[in-house]
Amino acid sequence: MDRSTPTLEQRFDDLLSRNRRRIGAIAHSYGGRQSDDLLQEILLQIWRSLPGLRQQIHVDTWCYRVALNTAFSWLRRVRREAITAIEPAVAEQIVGSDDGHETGALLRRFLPTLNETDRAMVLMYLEDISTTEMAEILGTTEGAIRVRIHRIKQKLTEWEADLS
Amino acid sequence: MNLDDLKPTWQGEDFSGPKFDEYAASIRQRGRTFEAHILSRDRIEMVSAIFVILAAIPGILNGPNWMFRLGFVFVVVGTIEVIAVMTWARKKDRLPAVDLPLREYCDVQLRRIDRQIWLTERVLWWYLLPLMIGAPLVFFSVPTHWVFQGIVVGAVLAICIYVYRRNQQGAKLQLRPLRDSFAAVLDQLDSDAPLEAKQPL
Repeated sequence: MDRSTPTLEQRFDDLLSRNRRRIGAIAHSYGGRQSDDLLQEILLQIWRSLPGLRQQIHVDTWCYRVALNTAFSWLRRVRREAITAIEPAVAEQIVGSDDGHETGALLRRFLPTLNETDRAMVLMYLEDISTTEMAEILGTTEGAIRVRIHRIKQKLTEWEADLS
Repeated sequence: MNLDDLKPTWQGEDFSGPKFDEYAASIRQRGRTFEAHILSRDRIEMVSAIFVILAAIPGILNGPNWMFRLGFVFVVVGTIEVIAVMTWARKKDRLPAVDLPLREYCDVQLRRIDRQIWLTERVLWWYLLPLMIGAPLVFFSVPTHWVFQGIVVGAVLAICIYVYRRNQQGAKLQLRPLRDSFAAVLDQLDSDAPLEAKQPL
């Protein structure tokens, strides 16, 4: 093998080193108390899919797609265990700084009110993933993403107003 | 609260957790053996089917009467049919590549589950019926006490009914809800598409 060609193991490690935070966020957001199980499933799917990864595509977007699709399928497999909502652990982790405390607590209550795809959009939005990449990950149009994000923000405002 | 305000806090958190590296190392080690496990399961099913066929052929060739031979013909034809259907289903129903865009991924899943529902709901025709006909023919053709024949045939029918009911329940309680959940994701993705032109940001 050409020494300059990275092995599967090297590609796997490289991908994980760049995306570990995002992968972890998806595992926490959809896996709840069983986030470790989901994390392992995501890593396994990345490993299995990596040989088919074409060099020319955006690798990090590809990685996010694998993680998200795996989370959606995994959720259905464990639905009987009623993991449908984001667990408090996620939002508690967000409440790290002083100014994040109030918003983190609200987010903890708000996220479960969203459906799966809206939740995925919020996660990607918080990760600063561009609308172009979000559209590529979800298989929809950039316009539809912008409309949906706008609606989620509106819903958040209304939801917050209802609370107070 | 504004989503934009949450970004810095969110992005400052490390969600990967303490076991991330341990899991990654474990996947590297067992990733390849996982593939081998799937292959061996398929081989076991295929070898079992071939064994049934080989065991039944002497019955067809050397059976004591036409009813006995016809019974085994049903069993062999049924087994070949099962192999054919399952091979076709496996070829068609491969899991979608997990790196597809979500919409496409759900779409492939939906088609795959539809085929599984179709097969599961019709398990009587492609899986059970040849056995339900073949086994009674074989046992009624053997000169033995009718009570024994009745018990054996009754047992075969009871097993077939059990398998049939389990499949119907599986389709109703597992596959259909699963199908609906993937369809719901597609609905969620589609719901804003018509509004794209009406409500641009």
